[in-house]
Amino acid sequence: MDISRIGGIATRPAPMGLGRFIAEARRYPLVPMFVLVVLLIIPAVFADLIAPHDPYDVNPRERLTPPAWSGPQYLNGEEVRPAGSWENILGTDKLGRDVLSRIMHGARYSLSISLLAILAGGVVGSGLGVLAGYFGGLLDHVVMRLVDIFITIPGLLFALVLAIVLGPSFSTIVIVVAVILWPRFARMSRAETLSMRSRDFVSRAKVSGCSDNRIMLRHIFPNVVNPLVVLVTLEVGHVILLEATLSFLGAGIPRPIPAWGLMVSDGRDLIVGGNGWWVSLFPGLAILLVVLSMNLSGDWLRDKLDPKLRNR
Amino acid sequence: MQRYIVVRLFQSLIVLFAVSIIIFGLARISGDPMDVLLPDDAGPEEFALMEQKWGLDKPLHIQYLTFLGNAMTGDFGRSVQHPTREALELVLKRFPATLVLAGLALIISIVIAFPVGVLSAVKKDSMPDYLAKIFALMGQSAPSFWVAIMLMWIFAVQLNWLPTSGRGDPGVDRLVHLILPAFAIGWYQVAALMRLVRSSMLEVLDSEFIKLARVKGVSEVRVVWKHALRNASIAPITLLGLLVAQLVTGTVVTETVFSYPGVGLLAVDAIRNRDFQVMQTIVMVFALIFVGINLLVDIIYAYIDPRIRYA
Repeated sequence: MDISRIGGIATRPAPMGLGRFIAEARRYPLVPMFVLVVLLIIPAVFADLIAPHDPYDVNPRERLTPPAWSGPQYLNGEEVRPAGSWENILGTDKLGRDVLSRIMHGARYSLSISLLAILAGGVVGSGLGVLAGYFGGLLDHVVMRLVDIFITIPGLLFALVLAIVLGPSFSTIVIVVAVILWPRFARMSRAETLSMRSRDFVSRAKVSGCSDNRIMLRHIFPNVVNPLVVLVTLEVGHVILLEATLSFLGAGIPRPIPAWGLMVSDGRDLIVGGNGWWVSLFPGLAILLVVLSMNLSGDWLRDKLDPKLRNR
Repeated sequence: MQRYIVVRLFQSLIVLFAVSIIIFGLARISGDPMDVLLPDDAGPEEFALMEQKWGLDKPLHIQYLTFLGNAMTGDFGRSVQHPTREALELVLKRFPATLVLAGLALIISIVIAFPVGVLSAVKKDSMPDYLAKIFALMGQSAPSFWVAIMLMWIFAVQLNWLPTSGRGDPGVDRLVHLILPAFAIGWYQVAALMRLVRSSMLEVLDSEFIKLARVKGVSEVRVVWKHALRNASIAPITLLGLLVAQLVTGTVVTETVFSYPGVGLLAVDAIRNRDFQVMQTIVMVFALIFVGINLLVDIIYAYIDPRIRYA
């Protein structure tokens, strides 16, 4: 049957081919997703294969080569900076390490830290939230006061103290970020659990003899997962920024690991000295584009999965 | 109202206690607190002095009470970097610089965010509104330290209009040194504040009393800037408490970029030298201010909006 004739109203058949493809594609955040794949995921997974140089390879003769497209710089007729070369497309830093290769390897740290931290904070937070919401009483009280306390105090303060106590390292920063994240997950999963607890399917599960553990895991948790997934995507961008900030301050990843925040920090003195803007500019741009795309995709997913959360 | 204030005051005290317990605990989870409290080259007599002062040979709860007692009298121990100086003295000396910077940043962000937010609500879906939206999105996504470095690169290094770092000599020079750092912090705040002003303006502009005012023939300028803005500024005011948290982060990051000698720079130096005493002082002082401001904001808010205090 020809659906364009239903009800006697002639509707135009959907345009086929390229036009329809574009119309479909516009409904998804394609540009942000493309940026994420190209700037974050591919470099993170294949850094060893696609990076043109070793990110740790110190090369004193190639120090501070500008990006490929910039010409030589003269001061009083004397060449103070050579032209860039395609050997180091985004230039080199003050130790002669290739900036592009370091950015590619840096994607690894950004991605793995944010995933691990969100996993840790999410599991602890939503676990406590579901427990607090389900059992209520004293447990609920204690957990929620803790959440209040952790939400009121600026997370950076914890981060700085922990960085001193544990010393800057990969695991320190994962712990720090998880500590900052868990209250948000706890708050959201508790609220969702509370709204589930009084529903009929929960009381029926209870009557039919399910244990508390089973009810929480099999009946409540699956219903709480959707908003949590949205929260995760909205938090990834935030976590990448946080990680970069901590590394920049010296409280995150230690040198000489190529973390994006650290690279921007390395470039700071070069900018003050006026001899190398590219060392800071490009890693910062990578953070900006990745976080921006993350936020845009997160907004889209939120609207898709949970219209209630819109405008929040 | 009184009851509300007392309850909020009590909650604030609990938060401060919690912070002190966390700091106390952190100094001890790494094993021997001596490791974080003393420099690596400390001699046995310094160990003995430290042990006696902080009661480290006593049970844990006595240790905590000793710590709390000392903290309340402003004694946070001596700095590891500068062993002759009290940690609190170091922090307080840096404090005015940070306060001025944070204050100016807050003023800049309010002065920019409110008019721009109102304009983009009034001219919804116009070119200026889109520009403001893009700016807000960028503000949320750009790393603040990078924005600060880029501002420094453009205005201080390339154009040479403003100094790159330091605090300058008293007088006009100080102000000149403040401009870039204050804008670097403000940029981040403007983004958050502007969006909120815009959305609450949109909500208010849609309400009946605005339509009535228009029907009565009140001029559009008066409708927008007086009738609507007054009602739309309640939500942004509550955000101020949150903005203060961002200010804390903002000052630490920005002072590092501009080598501005405030508390934030002291904190970063403390990390580099693993100076726990100074760091715990900074955290306690920041927490105190932060909790105080939040208490103030809550009380002001309850004063403006009676529904809050009976909730």
